[in-house]
Amino acid sequence: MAKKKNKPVAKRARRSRGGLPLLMLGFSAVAIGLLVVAAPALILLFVGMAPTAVAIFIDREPEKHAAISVAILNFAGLSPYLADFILGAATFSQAIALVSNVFVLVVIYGAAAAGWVLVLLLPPVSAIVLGVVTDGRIETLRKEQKQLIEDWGEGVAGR
Amino acid sequence: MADLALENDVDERSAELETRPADGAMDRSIPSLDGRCDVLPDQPLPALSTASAQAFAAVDRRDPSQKLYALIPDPQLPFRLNAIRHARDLGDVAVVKPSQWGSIDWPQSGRRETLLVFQRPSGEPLMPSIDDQIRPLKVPDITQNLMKPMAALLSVLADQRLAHRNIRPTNLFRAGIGEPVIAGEFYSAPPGFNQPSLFEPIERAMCPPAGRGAGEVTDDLFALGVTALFLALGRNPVANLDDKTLLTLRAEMGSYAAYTAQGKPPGDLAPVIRSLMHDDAQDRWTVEDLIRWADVGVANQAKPMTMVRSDRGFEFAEGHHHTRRQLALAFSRNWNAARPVVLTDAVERWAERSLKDRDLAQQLIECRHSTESGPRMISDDLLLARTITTLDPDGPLQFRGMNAMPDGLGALAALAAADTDIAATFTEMISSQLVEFWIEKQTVAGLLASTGKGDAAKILTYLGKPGPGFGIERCVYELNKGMACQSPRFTNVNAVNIRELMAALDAGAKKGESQLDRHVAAFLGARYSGSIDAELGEYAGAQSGEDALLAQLRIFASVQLKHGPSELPNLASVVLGHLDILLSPYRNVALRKRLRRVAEQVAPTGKLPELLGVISNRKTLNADKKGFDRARRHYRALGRQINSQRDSRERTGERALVVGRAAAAYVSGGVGATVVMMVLLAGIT
Repeated sequence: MAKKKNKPVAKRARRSRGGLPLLMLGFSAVAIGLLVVAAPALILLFVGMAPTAVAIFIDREPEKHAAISVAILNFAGLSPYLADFILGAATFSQAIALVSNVFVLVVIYGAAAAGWVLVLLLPPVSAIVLGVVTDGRIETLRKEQKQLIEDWGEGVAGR
Repeated sequence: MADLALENDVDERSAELETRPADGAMDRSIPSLDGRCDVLPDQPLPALSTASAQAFAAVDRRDPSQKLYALIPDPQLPFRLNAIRHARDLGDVAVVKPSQWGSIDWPQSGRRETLLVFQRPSGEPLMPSIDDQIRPLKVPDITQNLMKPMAALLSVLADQRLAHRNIRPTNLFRAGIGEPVIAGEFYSAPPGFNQPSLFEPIERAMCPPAGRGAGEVTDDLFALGVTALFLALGRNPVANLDDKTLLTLRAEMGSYAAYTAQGKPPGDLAPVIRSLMHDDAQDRWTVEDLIRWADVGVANQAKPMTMVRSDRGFEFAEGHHHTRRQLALAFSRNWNAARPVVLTDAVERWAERSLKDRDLAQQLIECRHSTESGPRMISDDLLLARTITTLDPDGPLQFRGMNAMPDGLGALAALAAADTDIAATFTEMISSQLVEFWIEKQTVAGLLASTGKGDAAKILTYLGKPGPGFGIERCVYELNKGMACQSPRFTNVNAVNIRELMAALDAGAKKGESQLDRHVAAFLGARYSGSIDAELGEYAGAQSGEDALLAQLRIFASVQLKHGPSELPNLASVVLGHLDILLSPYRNVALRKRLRRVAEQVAPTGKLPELLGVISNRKTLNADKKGFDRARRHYRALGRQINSQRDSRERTGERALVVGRAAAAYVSGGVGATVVMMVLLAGIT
């Protein structure tokens, strides 16, 4: 009984974790790393990852798939500028100039927006695919039933 | 065992018939038995005919010099199959014996009839008719030529546990004066059926011909005594009396006194005739007494009749009755008037005060009380029947106008089966256990009592089961081995044995008709060597047409297996017509198709047991049932899965959102990782 009672709790805990904590951990690691090797890059990171923060706030799902999706693409958009800062000798003024560049912001935020596009586009596509798969399964089961009736008569269906 | 041997014997005959050329094959204009014996319908022999059988001239094809005659018995009466079977064991005694017998297509009736062929007795009957006058026979002639051969005959019959029951001047023949007498046939009707009542002992004379019973040699001795009296006087001494009056006189004064009141036999024959005509069978002469007298001229005379007469007669039905038997006879003849009388204590008082028989009075009182062996309720009819039996314990069973000796229940059952009123009385008589009461009243436990007890037990068993194969019809065939099947469908067939009936069933088999009516079922049940009561019970208790058809097939298959014929293609074809119903217990469609194919292959061979094996195979049926149960469970499981999928289909939107977003995360992950890798590689290079 005790086991039975514990099971749902464990399931809920596992489900609630999702991939977000890992992402946050990675983000924190990147931030600490940047603080050590290229502190000005932190400005870029905080400004560039703003859509992710918004997505985390908006996404109420326990798995936070939408936030993850936005965060990953947001970071991918940010990564070329961040790499320049890390590999080159970056200054705070360069960081401020970069976050003030509209083009740079469009690239970074555009990548985040692409994440949102995926989040909005894939559920309807999934719905279509899942519907087709389920219908196929029902059809197979019905065929099997029909075969049973052909083999054993209507009585097998309790009629 | 005797019955089984008998049935086998009949079957052998039937099998023999099948292998022989068809009747009349040699000359179609003359009916022929087995192609060996021609019967001439245009040459009737009235002198040899009986009340229940017509006689015709017959010619043996292999030996036309033989003088034969053929008897065609009444098909509604059982002939004496047992006596025919034992005839060959009788040896060289003075009686007509059947030389051949079987069934024949008879042009005059247009149906199949039983035919018994006999050697024609030489000479004429001793009296052309009972009421004719002839020259009286001398005592030495009677002794040498009547008594001696008849004593020898009765001795042999007694050894075979048979009785002739047809000894009378019109059925005794001789070639000429001084020649020994030969007894005529006694096979064509139930025992005593053709015997005028005046040749029957008083208790059997009280019964109608059908109820007189099988009887014993002692009954033949009585008939021989009466015959000797007639021949010694050359006439019927009681010709001026009707049967009823004569019976009354016999009950009042004894048979011998009643018969000789108007003509005394010669002095040296009188004691013999009196000893033979003694009304008490225990005191009547035996065959040994007769042989001793015929051989040595000396024998102990039977004790004189002692008839207790009351000083004051019992007043009833405008008469004064002084003896127990007289009163019993009067009660029996006036049933409705007697019923209220026995409800009072008048008869007990008469027994005690007038007959001075306290024991009888006590027995009459006890008639009112139910015993362990009797029924719980004593109806007025039963009380009267018990009173009559107590007054005249040697008399027949008497119940509401129906009189029968306990060994005559079989023939009476045959009558009852054809008449619902008689059937009701017969059933009530048996179920009220009057036979058991009658047996209780017997001072000597003889063959009559044991036969009656056995027959009554059988009847009670079968009457208790009302379904086809049982009931009154079953009693008829159980107790009358020579009775042809009385089914209205086979009146023209005259099937005496099971093989003939099966052949007739096959010939007349039509789709849509039940092949088993009550008579056919009862006949099969009674003639089957062994028991098919379980199958008959299954048929009787069938709840559906399918069950009835299957039970019917089981019965026919069992019968064919044991009795033949080896092929019954028409019956098999009828079964094929019902295959849909018969195979309906099988659920598997492919199996049904396969069984149908096999059944269609087996049916033309006419082998019903094989067909039954195909249609109703317990092992296959069990496997099919298990398979069906499995399939049904599987069907239900599939249904549950379909419902689950439908639910899932209804929740597709919800699921798609979760799945789509997860997919978005994975796609993003893939794309993002690729971009980061490319950026890193570009930066390093």
